Amino acid sequence: MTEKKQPEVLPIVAGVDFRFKYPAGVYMSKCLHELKENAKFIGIQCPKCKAIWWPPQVVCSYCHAETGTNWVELGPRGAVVNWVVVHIPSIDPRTGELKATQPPAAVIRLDGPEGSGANWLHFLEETDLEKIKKGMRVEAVFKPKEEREGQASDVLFFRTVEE
Amino acid sequence: MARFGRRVAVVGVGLSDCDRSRPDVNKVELANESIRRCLDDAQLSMQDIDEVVVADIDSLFGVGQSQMWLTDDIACYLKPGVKVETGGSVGGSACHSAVHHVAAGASDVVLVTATSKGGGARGPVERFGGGARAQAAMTAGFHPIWDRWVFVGPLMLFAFMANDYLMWSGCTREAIAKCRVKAAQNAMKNPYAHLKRDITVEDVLNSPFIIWPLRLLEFCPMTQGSAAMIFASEEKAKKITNKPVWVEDIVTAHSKQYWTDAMVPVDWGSQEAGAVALWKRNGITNPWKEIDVFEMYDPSTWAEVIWMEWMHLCGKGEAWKLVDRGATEINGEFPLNPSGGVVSTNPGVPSTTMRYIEAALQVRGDAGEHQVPREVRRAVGHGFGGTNWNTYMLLSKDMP
Amino acid sequence: MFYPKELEEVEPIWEEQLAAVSGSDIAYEVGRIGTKFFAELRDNRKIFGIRCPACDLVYMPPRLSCKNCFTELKEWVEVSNTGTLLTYTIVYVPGENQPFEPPYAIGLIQLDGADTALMHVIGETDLEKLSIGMRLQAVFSEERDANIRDIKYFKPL
Repeated sequence: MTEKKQPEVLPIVAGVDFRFKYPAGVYMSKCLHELKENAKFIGIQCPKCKAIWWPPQVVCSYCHAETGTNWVELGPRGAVVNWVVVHIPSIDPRTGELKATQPPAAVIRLDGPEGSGANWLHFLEETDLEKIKKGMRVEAVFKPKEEREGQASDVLFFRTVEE
Repeated sequence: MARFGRRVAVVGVGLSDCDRSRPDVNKVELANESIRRCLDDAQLSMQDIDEVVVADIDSLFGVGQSQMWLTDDIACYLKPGVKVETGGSVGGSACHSAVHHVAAGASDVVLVTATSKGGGARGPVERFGGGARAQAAMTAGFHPIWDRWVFVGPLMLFAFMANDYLMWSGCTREAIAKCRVKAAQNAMKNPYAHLKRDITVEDVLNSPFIIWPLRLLEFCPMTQGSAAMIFASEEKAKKITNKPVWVEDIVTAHSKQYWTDAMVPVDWGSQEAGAVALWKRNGITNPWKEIDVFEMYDPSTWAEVIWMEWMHLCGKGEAWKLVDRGATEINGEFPLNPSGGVVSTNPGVPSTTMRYIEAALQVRGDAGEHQVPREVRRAVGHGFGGTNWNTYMLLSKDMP
Repeated sequence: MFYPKELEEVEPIWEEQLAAVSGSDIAYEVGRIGTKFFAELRDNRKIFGIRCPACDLVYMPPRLSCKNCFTELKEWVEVSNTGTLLTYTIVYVPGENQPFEPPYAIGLIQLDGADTALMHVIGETDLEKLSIGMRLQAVFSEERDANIRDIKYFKPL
């Protein structure tokens, strides 16, 4: 490979985006319904190995037992365990629009019964990096009921709370 | 000890020229480039190939059923074949498929082909937009209702991983930067690498944040390129080459459906499960001492460091110290990614095939300027992709 | 019944979004072979095939490798603008990106000098009068852009 001769390049340009309607399914519909109607986080506990699943799922990932209706209530508070800040534009998969920025994304461990909990990836209200600390207590802030749609974004973000 | 019904060896490898953009060729011509080189390497012709396994991710490149378009140029016309998709690990999964077919006796000589011809860069604005669209395209592999709306592609994954490691391990950013510089130094010795810039630790530490705390130079590029490998049965391999590279074992491990579950602490359970299975099945009790070269799929320099621990190459919290003192350099105790790794060359679909190819070249002693200066009897190639598929191939000079 | 009964009453929830975003506005580069083929259409209104010397076959549209023997093809051969209609079909259903208003005909046309056929549209014709074996000729567009529509359509001779 000696000299790189640049041949004429003929491209045919096309964009390929198509919309799709995703069903949440039986178990996830239940949890999204609870977010929408009651502003509650309803997860599920495996009857066999006691692992907590958020969102609730039909079968336990670890031991494959059927989870049935062992609902557990989680949150609305939790602790921040990890966080990042996006510095590049990103595309919103719902609308296809390019967003210049987004608030810090964080993994929040929602409080569960008897010291247990479950993780959720969401946004923080706090944008000052200096103020975000591991273990920081936060609480879910919901949209007003009439605006909720039964989606993860029914929770606007997590707000830092003093305890 | 032979693991498979029939022993399988790598008898030929081929790589295309790799760059950010290869506008001189279309996808099938790019695939053809590495296949012709692979056939030359094995001294075989298309008539000697019994079957072709195609690796691809159709949703990323705008051509459905790509194997149809590729057929003539991948020597597959009227031949048996199969197409595999497992995200970024597909280059490895396709090889595993080929190994299965040869080991089972279904075919004697199988060609694996993996090609990536993404959109290609236009200009600085499109490149940024291209970055967002590329991440969004890969986010299509995440759960639609639960994970996608926050995630910004695999980039965010590695940012979380970096923050987590920074918080508990005491690692310095200099150590990570040194690891990135090692990759660049190795890539400059590899004619098929994409990024061959002589970068310094300062360059890495001053590169902008893409997703804090991950810096631009700590993450892989987007490359266009292709790779091909030929696997053969023991009987055929011995006739084809006097330097067969034996496939001692292959392992795959897969993870959970929601990435969110894997975020705290960042849980690379499937990296671990796959590696532990590989060591156990092959009686390897101390991989740091018993493996001569390791080609790991490192989408980010952070991954190269942190996954050393998850793969039981060293203890938790130890990896950054080993990297800091040069243990993973090309002439170090444990050469890791002498090719420059994925962080230097990332065509995605062929990236794992390239890890296996580089490991095989090291065993053969044919890696040229980036050959490690020690005897190589056993090498491992690793692949990663999608929702944490991990593929491993153990290659050796000695017949198992 | 697989799911617990109480879940039967829960309203099913859907979310609409983009199934997959393409990696960028995809530029399907036509490649080494395609570049020459389309440049000849655009610049010279000439149609080229490529020949395999081992199999004595002329491929049109041209490609890099012979499918039978895998020889790397390099011998360009100009083929005629005129050819034979091997088969055809008539499109009645309206849809997106159609070259004409339906009904219109698409055919496989083997140009003189080529051993393979080109799929293209047939124009300036009475759809009732189409027949297999009829002779057609390429009509080029006035404005040409280096793509397959530089040939506007094939018309009966």
